[in-house]
Amino acid sequence: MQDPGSWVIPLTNPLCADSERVGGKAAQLHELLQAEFAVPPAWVITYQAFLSHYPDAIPARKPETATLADDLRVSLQTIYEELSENGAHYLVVRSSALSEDGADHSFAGQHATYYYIDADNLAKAVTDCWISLWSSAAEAYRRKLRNPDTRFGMAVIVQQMVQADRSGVCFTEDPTGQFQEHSLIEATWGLGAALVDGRVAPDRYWLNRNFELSNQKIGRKRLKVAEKLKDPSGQRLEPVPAGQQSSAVLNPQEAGQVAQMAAKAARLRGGPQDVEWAYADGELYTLQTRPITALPVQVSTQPIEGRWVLFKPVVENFSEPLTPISVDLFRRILPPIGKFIHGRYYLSVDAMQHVLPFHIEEADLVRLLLLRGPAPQLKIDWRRLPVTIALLTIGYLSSGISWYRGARVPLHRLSDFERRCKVILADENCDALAALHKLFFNRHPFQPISEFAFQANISASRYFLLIGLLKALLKRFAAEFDQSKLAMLFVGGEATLSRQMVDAISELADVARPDTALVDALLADDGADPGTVVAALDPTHPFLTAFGQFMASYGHRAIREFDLSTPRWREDSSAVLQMVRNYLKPDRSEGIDPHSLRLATEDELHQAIKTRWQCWLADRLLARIRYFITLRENTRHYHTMAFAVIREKLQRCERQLIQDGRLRCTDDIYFLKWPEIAGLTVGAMDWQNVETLISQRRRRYRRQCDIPPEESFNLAVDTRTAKPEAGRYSGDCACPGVVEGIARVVLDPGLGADLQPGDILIAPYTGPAWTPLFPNAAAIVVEVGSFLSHAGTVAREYQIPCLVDVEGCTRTIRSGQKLRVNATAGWVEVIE
Amino acid sequence: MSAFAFFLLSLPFAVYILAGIFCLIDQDDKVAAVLSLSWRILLAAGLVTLAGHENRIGVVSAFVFVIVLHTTFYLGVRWLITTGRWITESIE
Repeated sequence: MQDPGSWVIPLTNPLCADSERVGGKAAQLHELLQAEFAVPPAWVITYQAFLSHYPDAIPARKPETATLADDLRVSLQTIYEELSENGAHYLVVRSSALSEDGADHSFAGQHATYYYIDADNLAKAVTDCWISLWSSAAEAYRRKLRNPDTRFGMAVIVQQMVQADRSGVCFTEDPTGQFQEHSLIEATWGLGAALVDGRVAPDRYWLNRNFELSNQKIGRKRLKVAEKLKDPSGQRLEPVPAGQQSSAVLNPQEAGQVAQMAAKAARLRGGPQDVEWAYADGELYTLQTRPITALPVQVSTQPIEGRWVLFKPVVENFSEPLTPISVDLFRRILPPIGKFIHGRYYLSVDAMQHVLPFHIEEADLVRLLLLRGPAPQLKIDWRRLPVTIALLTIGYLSSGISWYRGARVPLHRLSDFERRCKVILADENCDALAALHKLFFNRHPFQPISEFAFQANISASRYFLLIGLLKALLKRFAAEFDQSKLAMLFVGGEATLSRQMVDAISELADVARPDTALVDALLADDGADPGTVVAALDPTHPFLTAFGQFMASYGHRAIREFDLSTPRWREDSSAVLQMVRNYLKPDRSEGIDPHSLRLATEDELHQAIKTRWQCWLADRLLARIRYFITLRENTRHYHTMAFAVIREKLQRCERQLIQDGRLRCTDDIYFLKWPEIAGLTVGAMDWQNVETLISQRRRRYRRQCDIPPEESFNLAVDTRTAKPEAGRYSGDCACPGVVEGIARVVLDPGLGADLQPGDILIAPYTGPAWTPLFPNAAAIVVEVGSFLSHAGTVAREYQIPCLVDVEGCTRTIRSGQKLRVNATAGWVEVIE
Repeated sequence: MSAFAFFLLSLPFAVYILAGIFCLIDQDDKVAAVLSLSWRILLAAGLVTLAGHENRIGVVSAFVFVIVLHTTFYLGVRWLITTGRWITESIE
């Protein structure tokens, strides 16, 4: 055993410059301290102490946990007394492995860190920290390294815990690559552990080289690791007050201060850094810095074989990846012609090319699959035609009956599905997977088609073919008719449930309006949570009654409603109240009456068509297109109820698992796969088996969320559209029109989307939850979408010019810029 | 040989006519559903008459074939899904 005198040294000691003695992290903290960064006081338990307790340590063999030597116990007691002298109650114990935070590999998050350590559990935290050197995560990380560092050992930092009210990470170079020449700050409430573990969607701030805020994305921070424990034995993860969840953690000055501190660390360390920071009582602390070696968590290491292209109909509703449980359940019902890659669904280009009976270039096929631009000229491939005909014949004979049934679904009977959902929800013996099967597939063919919203929804997609047919016919029947006006003829009208939902929100605003106190409270810019305002109302208040009725009809909806981890509106109504708030704003402009516009366009079409039977045929086609568009929107309303039921089933399961001690935290279940949940349920697995998995998947998921989805894999063609020229961005027209207005970039409709009447809505994608923003918008510009996407369908309902598939618009257009949108010609430009 | 020709000819009609039966389940307006089905039955009767006695087997076989194929496809997909054999690959 080595000299115990060398086992503990204060971080201020010059010996801490030696990373062979104190590990990479402690050596860097010492360097920061010397450079006058505000580093919390700390001591280091050196590598010599580790070596004395684990003299034969090798990576391949995990030893028994060592008993701490008495000398070290005494030293730890002294350290605790010294560090808690100035009133600090808790310490933090951090790993500082010899190979940690090196220039080549960071080992970020692979070893243990312990918060809220007091005198009683300090010794255990140190031994646990040492043993984390052999954790499965660290072992896996070492295996992945091409040139694993031969230095194997760990020092431990015992540091005063900063009781941070806000904390986060600052990357001096944006590691996601979204903004060149920018630093990226991620911030959340409370301690940074919630962020590092991927438990919260943090705020993101991008700052330029002058430390000015260029862009920000405010996350919804539902949970935080509390800076002060109310009950030391209780939960450390606590809910963030509703009013704070969607508020910015940092103001621009504070963000600038963090970025400057990180830039100083980067200059000191001689390269881009990833700096952990914290604010406590207004003072900024530097907790740690490490070189940016790569993305903090690799998105994936698995090779991808074959050619794949993004399945647009899902991604145009939300471009974030699905959580692991959503992927694992949905992959059990989706056709195997696709593949989930990094949480997103892709179609096989190879399979498509074999099935389609056309001579088609890869680039054209990909454009077709991405629903981008005009349809390519198709030439029939006679060699493939027999195969296609055979497949179509088999398809028609085997499922043609369902095709016919889907053509005449009575819209009002779709509510049958709601009853079915309630029955399945009430069935205690039906788990999430069984509910998925029951809600998406009928037991026998003699159940009414209206009970199967999902099949009806897929069946309704045929309007895409009908539109193609109508366009081809009109080329012959009415060559002089301007086909860009066709979109105005597809308006479904009052039966569309998305439209009824918007009307219901407008009615909620009408109910609130006579109560001026309520209106003032909802419109106040004091950051108060609208939910708190509504909760304070008298239970007999008419607004509460109307709100309850709204939730009964639409409470199952949400932003990103396909994902099972997303809270539904009935769980978190803040997004709805935000929309009501938008409707209460004065000076809302009344839109154009789409019905009269449609009639006028129909007249124009009739005049352009020469014969009566041609008119009749065009009208029949238009009626069918309108019916299928409405059917598709309405079935979406209902089949999302199925997602809400499955989520509820998962929540029940999670509550039981937490009660049994097999899971620790809420929302962890969404980072498991179904066999793992089943294993936990029957007791074949426990918390130890899934803890690391959950942590790794959470962090990977957060990184995947940071990165825009890859449009394709292994394709020789560039699927992206041309870069913007001279401030002009191109896209596809979903509803024609030309307008000018002020840009309002909205990344999440529930996060205080302060859209003023006449603003141009710039969105990454839209789904039904975005619909209530539409009536306020003068035009809509969407990053991902197509003519058939939700944005296009609803924009046509309101006759709002809409441009879709405008690459990079949310990143490069800024709120407040003046824009001109020419949706008819397919471009948007920045005027001022 | 002509029975086989009638079998092939009757296949698309069989799908259309059999779909009419489901109108009775799916539609609220039962009168309209019965009317629609009647037209289809009339079409089926026309096919049988056209086929004549010696080729009737071809028409009937087409109906049986479509029923069997539709049911097999339906139950087959359901079986594949509920037993976990229908599964899309996933790369994390």
